[in-house]
Amino acid sequence: MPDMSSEIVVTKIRKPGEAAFTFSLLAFSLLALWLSYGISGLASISAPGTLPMLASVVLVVSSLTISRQVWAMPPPLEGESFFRLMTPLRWVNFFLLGMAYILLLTFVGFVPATFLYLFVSIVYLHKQGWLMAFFVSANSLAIIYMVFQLVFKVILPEGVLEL
Amino acid sequence: MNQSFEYFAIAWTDPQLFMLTALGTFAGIYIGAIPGLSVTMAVSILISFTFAWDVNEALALIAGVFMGGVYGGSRTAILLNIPGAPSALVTALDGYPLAQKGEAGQAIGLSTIMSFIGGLVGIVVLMIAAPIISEFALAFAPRDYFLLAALGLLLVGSLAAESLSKGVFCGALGVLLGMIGLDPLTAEDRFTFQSLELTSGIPYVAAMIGFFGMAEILVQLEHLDVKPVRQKLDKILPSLARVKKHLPLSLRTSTIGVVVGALPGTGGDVASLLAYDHAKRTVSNPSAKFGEGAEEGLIAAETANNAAVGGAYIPMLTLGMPGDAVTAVIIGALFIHGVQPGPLMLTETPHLFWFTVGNLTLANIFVLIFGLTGIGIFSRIVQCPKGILLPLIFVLCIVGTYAIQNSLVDIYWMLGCGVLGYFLKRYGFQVAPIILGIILGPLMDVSFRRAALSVQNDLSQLAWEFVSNPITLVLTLGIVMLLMSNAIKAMKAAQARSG
Repeated sequence: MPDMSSEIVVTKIRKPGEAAFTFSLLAFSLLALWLSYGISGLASISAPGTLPMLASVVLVVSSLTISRQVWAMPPPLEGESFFRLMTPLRWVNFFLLGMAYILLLTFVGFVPATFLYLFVSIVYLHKQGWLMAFFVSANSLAIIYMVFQLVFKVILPEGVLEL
Repeated sequence: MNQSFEYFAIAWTDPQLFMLTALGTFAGIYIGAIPGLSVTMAVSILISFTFAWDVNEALALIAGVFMGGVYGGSRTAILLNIPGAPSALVTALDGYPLAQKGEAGQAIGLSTIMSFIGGLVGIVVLMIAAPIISEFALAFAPRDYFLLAALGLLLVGSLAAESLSKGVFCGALGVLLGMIGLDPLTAEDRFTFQSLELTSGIPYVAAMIGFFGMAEILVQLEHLDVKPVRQKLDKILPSLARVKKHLPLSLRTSTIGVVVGALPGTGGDVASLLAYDHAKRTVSNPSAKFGEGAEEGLIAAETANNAAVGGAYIPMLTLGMPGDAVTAVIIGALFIHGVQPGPLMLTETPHLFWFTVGNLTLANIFVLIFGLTGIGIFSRIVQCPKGILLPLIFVLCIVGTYAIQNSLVDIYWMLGCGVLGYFLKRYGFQVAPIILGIILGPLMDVSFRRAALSVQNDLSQLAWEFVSNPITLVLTLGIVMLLMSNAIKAMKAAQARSG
């Protein structure tokens, strides 16, 4: 491997929420092990539950190792919060816009929902005014519709209102 | 031989397949070049659209996207210092300094020709090695397939994530997700919670789109304000003398690329790193210092990552074992189209093998053509602001997921996998082992249980089989050595930290 690193040893600092995240992975692994055991117990090595149990044991062992490594790290710097670092406002808003888009798809169908979603997201993320967002959304939607409906013949979501 | 050539020429003589390969390569170059759009993401989304197509048409488009995408990553690495794909990370080390010296055009020209040479070497090795490996693989017992899949997962896990434990965790998580549904041998429910939707397992194309597409969008939201630097582009085509001068190095690094690409779990990113290292150690008089615009560094990275494409197809077609994340997704496409890759593929469906070889060769030629033309327009398109690009990719993820079985539930699966993938990525995990696990999980399950049944469920007998058979022993030793080398590496790192 090329030597692109320096001789300095970098001590990693725990990220906000990392300890809780690794703990939830450990809890999930234990739950998976319990569910895997429930499939066929220890009936035989060719039973349906054998590989799920094997995979779950690997999950438990690796998540324990990860947890140990994470707990050994120095805690996050003061002032750094999980919400600010991992789920900043832009992230939350984009996700909520996406959820609203999916809900809208079920009501008004693909074309109006996609146009609205693209328009609002581009106004929000690109910040170059609504006129530009309007043209970009309309053109992009026309291209997407032509390519997928007319060329790929893909069925696009239809809403209950069938707009 | 004549018949093989006929199959090889299908994509060259059928106008539709010819056009699809060209279109795929063209699109792949742009997809690979745009930071935030990965080849894996594009192929995952494409699978859902090509679901109803003929297998040759789907394979032609996908091979074009793969070949073009690996090359395309170098463009933005050179022009903007932003590698479009992980395999172009090393390209940026010398490509961008070359561009800063005003030689962006020459750097692109050289990287295109070298990518073509690398791609060609990869295809030739695929042509020669695949029949030999297929024949050898006929001797593989179910336990060998189990071990080979486990080795592939471990390799991906150890290379992709920050630590082996994180990689192993993701691989095991993928295997577990792959177990959801009815047991293929006894039709018993596994993790279905009496839900009818879960009996057919998780929709893995939706999971792929979620882990590769959606998660990447969420990560890219943080880099929305990064402004790329414009580059001046003039003379593109390098002189013949310059190409001739670098030919011996390009052949050596292509060989490294194809060998690394053929190892289960390693792809263009590792190949380019190793090739760069080789160039650094063996070239005594580089055109500039490595890292400051050495043509040799650019050549090593570009030949190796394109040669790795042909290499990655070798385990996929001969063993049914994906070489990297993209081939894991392509294997999913083959399953969807009813094609079973493995040692019998060359004897039962030789047309598909030779068609793939011919198709990759054609795509490689298109890389050369499209790579040397339209660079001016290209540099403007790839600077598409992320504020526009990300909502568009999100719409593509939604359309792609819905297209699989016209189900809104799949969209929620995709979204869930995307959010999980985002947090995993932010905390230093990689999602490629999860997808590899989902694909390999069922194969590991069936192989392990067949191995157990062959010894009447006798655990000691099974353990003996793992060390008494030469092929099995080599694979077992490979796993043990990989685990030990990682343990030693972790111990050394811990010692360095403590003092």
